[in-house]
Amino acid sequence: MASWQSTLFCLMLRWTMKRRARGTIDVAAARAHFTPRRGVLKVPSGWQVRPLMAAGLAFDHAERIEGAPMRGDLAVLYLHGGGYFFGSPQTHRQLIMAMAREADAPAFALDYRLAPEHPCPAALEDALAAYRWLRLSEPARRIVLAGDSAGGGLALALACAVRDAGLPPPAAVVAFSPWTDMAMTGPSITANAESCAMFTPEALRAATRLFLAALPATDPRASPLYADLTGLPPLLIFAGADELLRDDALMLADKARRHGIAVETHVVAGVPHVWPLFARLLPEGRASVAEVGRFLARVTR
Amino acid sequence: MTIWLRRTGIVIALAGAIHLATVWAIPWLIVGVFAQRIAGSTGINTVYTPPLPSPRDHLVVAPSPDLLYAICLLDTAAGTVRITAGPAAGYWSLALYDRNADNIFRTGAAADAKVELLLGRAASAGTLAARFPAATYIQAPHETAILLGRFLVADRARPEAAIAARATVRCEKTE
Repeated sequence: MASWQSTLFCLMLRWTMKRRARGTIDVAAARAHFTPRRGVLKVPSGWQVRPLMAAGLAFDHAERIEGAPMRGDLAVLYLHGGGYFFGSPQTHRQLIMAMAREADAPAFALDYRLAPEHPCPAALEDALAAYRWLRLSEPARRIVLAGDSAGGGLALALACAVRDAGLPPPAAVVAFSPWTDMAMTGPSITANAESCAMFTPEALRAATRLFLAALPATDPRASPLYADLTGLPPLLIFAGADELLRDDALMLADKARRHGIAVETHVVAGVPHVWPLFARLLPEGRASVAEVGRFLARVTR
Repeated sequence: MTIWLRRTGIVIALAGAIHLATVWAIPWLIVGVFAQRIAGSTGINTVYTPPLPSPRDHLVVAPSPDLLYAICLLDTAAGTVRITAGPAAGYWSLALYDRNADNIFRTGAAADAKVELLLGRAASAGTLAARFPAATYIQAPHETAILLGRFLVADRARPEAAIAARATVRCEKTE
């Protein structure tokens, strides 16, 4: 049974987020609503959060999050979720910090350009520029790509773009509830329409329109499910059993396995979309974050 | 007036409490009875393969006459259980149900697909990933769960393909 914390949290999400999002998207309201409060941004002692301005590059802002001491041979490049139209390194700071702790490595969180002002492939261009920059500025470190929801899909698309650009590959990709299919072909889009605590299929469809603009939904830069996945590093993929995007994660995992990629997939019941984001509240989130640590220790040491 | 209001309030509160308790308990009771029957017929972590349903069969609620079922009572108390199925011809699907009848996983499989699931507690996932790299790890909410496989029989006179597909279902302990 899901924890009582998760049960209550899912109920709260149903009454707030899911009820509000009924097929139309108010971009300004979403960005305002998810602006983090000061308490969330508090940096624990022993940790450092430094803003990075990368002048001349496509992306204009990132954060370096680090505790001490940490491994010198690994770094995490984290791509936040938010449907490609809201979210920032600040909204996801708690999860990014947890990723840095589990990887025992500094995390770089990218503030990529958002839709609808910057539709696809702007976010991917920014992510690729950040990857190149990180390779140059931290040459001794192998890079773990990580992301949640839209950021999870972006991390997978970035792994393909890195391969296509002939750059040294990432050490691994970790994706929480990744959004991999803008065509919305997964059976869970309809099967979990009721059980998903956060979204309706209509809201998801509205977000695809913002992000895709004129691109087809099956463009692999927007939907890594349609990309050639050969040559990707080991993948760790999480999905909630009851969420709309469950099959986005599982279909991608199946395809990657068919391409010979090592894939570890976890399905957790009774949790909301991207539950590790709420690890401070949910025991399932803490357990999944700990799985990341075990996975990274296995594939990167 | 006050007494009647109080009595009405007590009756409404009692009715509400009984309603909630019933809604909570009934799935547990039904699955408990069902699990007991399966455990009695085939045991735990072993696939039960009943014949094609007829109108007299009620082991599975409202069985569909054009489906063959594979049922397995899964117990993760002693460790993670591995479930495999396919590749197999025809349409088939697998679903996992929690001890309280909640659906925790379902997959519809294409003919060429092989399904490999690990059902267990989160702590063992890391160690099993190396042994079963193609598996999807499902965190078991309770120690007991039920696997239900459905295999379409297009023609009841010729169920051989569905029987062969169903024979690919395996449940086994990993440790």
